Amino acid sequence: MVTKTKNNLLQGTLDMLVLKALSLGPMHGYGVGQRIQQISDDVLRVEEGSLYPALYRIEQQGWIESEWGVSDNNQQAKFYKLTRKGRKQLQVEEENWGRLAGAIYKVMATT
Amino acid sequence: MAWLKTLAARLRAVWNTDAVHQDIDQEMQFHIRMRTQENIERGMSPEDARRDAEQRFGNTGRIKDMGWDVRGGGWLETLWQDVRYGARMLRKHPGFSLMAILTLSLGIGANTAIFSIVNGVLLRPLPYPEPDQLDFVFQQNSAMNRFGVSVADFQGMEKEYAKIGSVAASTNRAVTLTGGERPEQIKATFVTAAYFKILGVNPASGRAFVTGEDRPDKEPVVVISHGFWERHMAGKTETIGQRLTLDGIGYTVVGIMPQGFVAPSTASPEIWPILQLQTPKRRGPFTLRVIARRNAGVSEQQGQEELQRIARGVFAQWAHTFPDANATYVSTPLKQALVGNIGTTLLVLFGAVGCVLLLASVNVANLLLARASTRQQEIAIRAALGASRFRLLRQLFTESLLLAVLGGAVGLLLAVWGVDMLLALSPDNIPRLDQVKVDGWVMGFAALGTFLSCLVFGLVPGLYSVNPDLGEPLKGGGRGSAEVPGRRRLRDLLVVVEFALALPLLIGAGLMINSFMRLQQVKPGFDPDHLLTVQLPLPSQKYPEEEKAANFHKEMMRRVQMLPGVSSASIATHLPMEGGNTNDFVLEIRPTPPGKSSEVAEFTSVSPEYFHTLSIPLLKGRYFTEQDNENAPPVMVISETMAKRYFPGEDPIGMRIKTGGCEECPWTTIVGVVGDVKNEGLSAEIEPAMYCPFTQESFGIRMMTLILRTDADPASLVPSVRREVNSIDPDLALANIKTMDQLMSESLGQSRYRGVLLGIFAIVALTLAAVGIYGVIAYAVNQRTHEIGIRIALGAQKRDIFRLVVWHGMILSIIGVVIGVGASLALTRFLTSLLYGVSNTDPATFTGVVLLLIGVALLACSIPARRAMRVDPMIALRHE
Repeated sequence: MVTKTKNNLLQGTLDMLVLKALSLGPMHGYGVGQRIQQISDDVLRVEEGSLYPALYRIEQQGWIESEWGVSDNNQQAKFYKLTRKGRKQLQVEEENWGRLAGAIYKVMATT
Repeated sequence: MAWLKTLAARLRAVWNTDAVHQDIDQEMQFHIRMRTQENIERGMSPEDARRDAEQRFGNTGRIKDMGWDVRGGGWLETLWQDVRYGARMLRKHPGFSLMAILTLSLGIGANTAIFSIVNGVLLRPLPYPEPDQLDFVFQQNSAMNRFGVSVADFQGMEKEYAKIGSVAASTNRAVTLTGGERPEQIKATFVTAAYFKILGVNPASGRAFVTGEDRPDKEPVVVISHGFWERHMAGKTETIGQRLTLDGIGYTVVGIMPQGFVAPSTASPEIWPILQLQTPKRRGPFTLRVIARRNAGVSEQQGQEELQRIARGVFAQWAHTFPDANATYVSTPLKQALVGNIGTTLLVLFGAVGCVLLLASVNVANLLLARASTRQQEIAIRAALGASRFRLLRQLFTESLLLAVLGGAVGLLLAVWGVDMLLALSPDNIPRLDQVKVDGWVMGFAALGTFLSCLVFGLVPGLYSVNPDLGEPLKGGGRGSAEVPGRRRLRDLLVVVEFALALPLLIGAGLMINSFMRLQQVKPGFDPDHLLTVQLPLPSQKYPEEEKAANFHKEMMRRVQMLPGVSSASIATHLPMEGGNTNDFVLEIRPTPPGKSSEVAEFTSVSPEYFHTLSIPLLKGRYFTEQDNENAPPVMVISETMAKRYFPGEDPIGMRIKTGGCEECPWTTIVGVVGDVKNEGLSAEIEPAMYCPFTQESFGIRMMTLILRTDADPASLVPSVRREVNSIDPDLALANIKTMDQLMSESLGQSRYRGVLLGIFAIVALTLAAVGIYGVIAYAVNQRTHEIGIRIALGAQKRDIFRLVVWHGMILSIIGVVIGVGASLALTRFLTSLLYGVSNTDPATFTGVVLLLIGVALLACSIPARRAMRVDPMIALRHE
């Protein structure tokens, strides 16, 4: 049995990033990792060890769906796609994140 | 509903483990291929690229596990694993499993069966709307003496009680239905108009009675039960409006009660004719039962106060016919009145089976504990491999739960069968037995019993098993190592608990059986052998004058007496054992002081032959003769107790008495004293009794019972008696045909029921305790084989070894017995009302049971002790 060691803030953030990445279009697990890395200019590198559990977890929540398909290089790959529920969830998380980031910025900006 | 989806996904995963694993694996492989390709594009060598890709995953196994955690069966899978593992363990030890399951199913089955009875009789609410507002109303003049009310009481009550509710009167009486193939006796409850409205149940078709229909000048109407409708009217729809001839009077059927309607009485009537009450001349006789419904919001206490207020008014109005300053009306909640003292019996039985279940659980705990020692190594290895304590405990508990569920399932089957047996065994006079069935509540109870017993027997040994100390069992190699002392103490403690539990049960059963045997030896005061009793209800329509009824009886007795096989025939208003009427009386020499209630004694009208037929001995004076008839001066025979209580040191013969509050009646002279008879049942106290010739005291003359002493089997005479009766009056039906042996046995009914059931439970308890102590001692001998071998090698005698082993068991059982005696002394107080002729601390029963239990313990210990004696020191030592 593996216990959840990451704190909820970070885990929630990863979930949000995954949802955001998938909001741009269906993608396989590898692609999700790549997409997050590229958009963040290589700042955020998602570990494989976190990515897949996150994907499975989110799928279990019903925010994404998966389906086996064919990748660009003609290989069998499992594609993930945002559901309507997932889109709503992303919206909620974006708002929360905006509020949190703003608050943190304010705190840090005081001189 | 997200959790439902999750559950479904997990179920799917458990079902199809491989597919999920493959899915995860393939996805990972794809990822690694992509990464490898990218690495190569960045200029790595193919080998390095691949290695890097794989390394990024770190421990792939761990990620797969994490994936499995989320996507796989999760806890469900662990549970399934545990269940399968548990089932395998149970199959591997069939003896152990069978023993445990049987023990548990006995405990759970007995509990469930008794619970279904307790539930039906005590817990289930009465099948009427707002049953808490319903009361029975009695009359009471001392704490012990409760009786019905008279017409005068009821009519006064009916008017006054309207302020806070409504009342209805009823009286049970068998009626003769004529017009069919042959006259038939039907159980009827005559009720006043408000009866069904008070119960709150309407007929399924037709109507209930309407107000005013219970006046004497109205047309007679009757409501019938669903069963009667099916049996006698063939279930036809056009029944409403038909006429039934009951006791020669035509009644119009106005309603049919719904199927399953149960009247609030043990008489289980089939029809409810309207009770039309005449305006009374005096207050008495007290033959009506009154049921009351308080309006919403009126408490029991308020109802009671109102009744007492009404009593003062009514009593004052009728004081000249019944002066009793102590009497008043009291109400009892309907359910309490219906259930009566059977409640105590059932709760005692319930307590007893609770003990049995505890014993069963303790026994299984012991079995598991013994097995836990042999599994020590397995558990230690699993712990060493990283299983958490919680995980181990969960697995052990799952195994226990599996045992419990199997035991519970078998127990439920036993219960279904047991309920039938209990119902077959139970005496007729237990109320509400028709409410007993195995339903959802009972199933729920069985499940609860299963779970609770599992907690007891699963958790205790489980906690001891998951000992964090891994070193010892691994080192010991599981062979000959001494047992963990804590566990041995626990096992010993369980034996003590078993004996402490078994003892009160055995004592309870012992006391019950003791009472039952004493009851059986009670001399009823007459000779019950070869007696046939037949009730002969005479319809008042056809026998309006008492003289005509008396003539019928005389002629009937004359004819029956001549039947071959009949040695003596007589009639009486009541039979011994059945309980009968009482009547108040005043003595000429000691008038009742004003304001005091007159004394009361049993009162029976009989034919002169009666004492002879029943073989009731004459102690003084004379029996009745044919000359003591309606034209002769009134005479009376009294019982020995009556003579002793009211004529102490005097000769009662020739003394004069008046009965029934009848001031203007002539004095009745006492002409004889006869032996006491157990008129109210074998267990009842002997009460003073008065007997009058039926020709002089006509009360109850239309409800006489014929009593025959026969030379042959009493039952064989029924056809010829029927022929003789019908040759005088073809419209008469015989009712309540019973032999006196049957009546005696019914009188013993509840006592026998308690004795048999508690006896069965006690035997189960004794067996469980014996098996328990045997198991523990045998196990201890097994564990100590080495030590015993050394002792023998060092010169211990076989006798010493025997004593060593047996002493261990005896100490445990004696401690248990001492605690059990303490518990019994505290508990048997609740049995007092159920005992007859034995005190609840009866030293003989206590001593007997204690000796029995210790004897059984000795026997159970001596088997392993013998085995210990035969230990060969060479083998025992080489074994090491």
